[in-house]
Amino acid sequence: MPPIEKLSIPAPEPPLLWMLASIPHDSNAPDVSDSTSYNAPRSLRILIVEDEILIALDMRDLLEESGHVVVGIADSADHAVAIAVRERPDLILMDIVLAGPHDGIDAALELRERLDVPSLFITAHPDLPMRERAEAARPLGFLVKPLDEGTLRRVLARL
Amino acid sequence: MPSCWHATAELRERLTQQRLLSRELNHRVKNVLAMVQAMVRRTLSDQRPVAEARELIGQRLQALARAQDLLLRTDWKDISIKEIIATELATYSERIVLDGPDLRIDGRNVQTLTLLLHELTTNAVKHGALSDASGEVSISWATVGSGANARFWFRWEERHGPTVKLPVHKGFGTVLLQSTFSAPDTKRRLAFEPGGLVYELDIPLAGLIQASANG
Repeated sequence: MPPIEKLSIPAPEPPLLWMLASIPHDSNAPDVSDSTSYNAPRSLRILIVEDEILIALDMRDLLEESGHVVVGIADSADHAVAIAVRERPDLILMDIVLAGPHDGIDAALELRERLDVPSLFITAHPDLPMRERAEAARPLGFLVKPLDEGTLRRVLARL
Repeated sequence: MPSCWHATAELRERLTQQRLLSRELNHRVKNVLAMVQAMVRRTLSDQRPVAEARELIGQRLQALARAQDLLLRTDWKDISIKEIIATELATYSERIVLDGPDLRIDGRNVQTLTLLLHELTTNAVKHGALSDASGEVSISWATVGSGANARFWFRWEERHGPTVKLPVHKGFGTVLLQSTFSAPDTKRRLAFEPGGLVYELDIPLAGLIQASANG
């Protein structure tokens, strides 16, 4: 009688990994949008890589409302690299699943290597294989869609 | 080989498939939620009266839902541009003149094109050629060039409507029209000409349509 083969049930994935130190929401902390009680974070030059233009425009407005400068919006990995090489941003908000042969992780890897620009990944579903692949780009972390405005502001304020 | 082995292998295969489908569904749902979030946030940021913003949000969500219906029918693959236009402008079909080849738009661009048409239609109904009984809209498109240099050209032209007035407020709809399709070397023109609003889009064909149809 052959040995009974066990069905391999995949182990549940660990909770979302924050490579950036955890950013708890402290209700007593000053709101970063309140300029009267908070030293405004430095203005960052940011490239948005997102292939849904509606989401990209919303991100642009959120960033500009927080005092940052959006140097461009790219809808593909290749476009992201082209803009980053030209504009030299401080940071890239990088969607992972993009149109075209390369994804956001490919672009983040290339831009980390060529320009040493860090990426902050924004994705709908950061699963473990994806995060493991992304680690080589030494990203600042992962934010999950739909994007929480307060979390994004707090992350950027710490940079 | 014992039949229980086959059953085990089949069950394992089904579990794997189910997990992949769940993951894909989760990804799409989160993306749609992110789009809804962006749409609501930007509409509310336009400093409109609440009642007007509520109506605009409802209409934009309806447009997004129509795009989802189209995508569901083809399992998120390519969709005829004529079908996308017909779906968005069904109410005004007798006042729309279409001129262009029947391209298959890649599923990834269907929501964007639907929202673009929705914003143009909404404006035409409120202020432009579709706001009175005499106006009409001409929608034309073409592919220009070939290979890697091929372009998609699109034109929305309103005619015989009321006298065009320049908008006093640049809302999110206008921003969307002036920013949509963020591929490199995209050209857009939004003009409030005396005869009616004209909007033109000139973008790389690659990525807009299915690769197999790009030729």
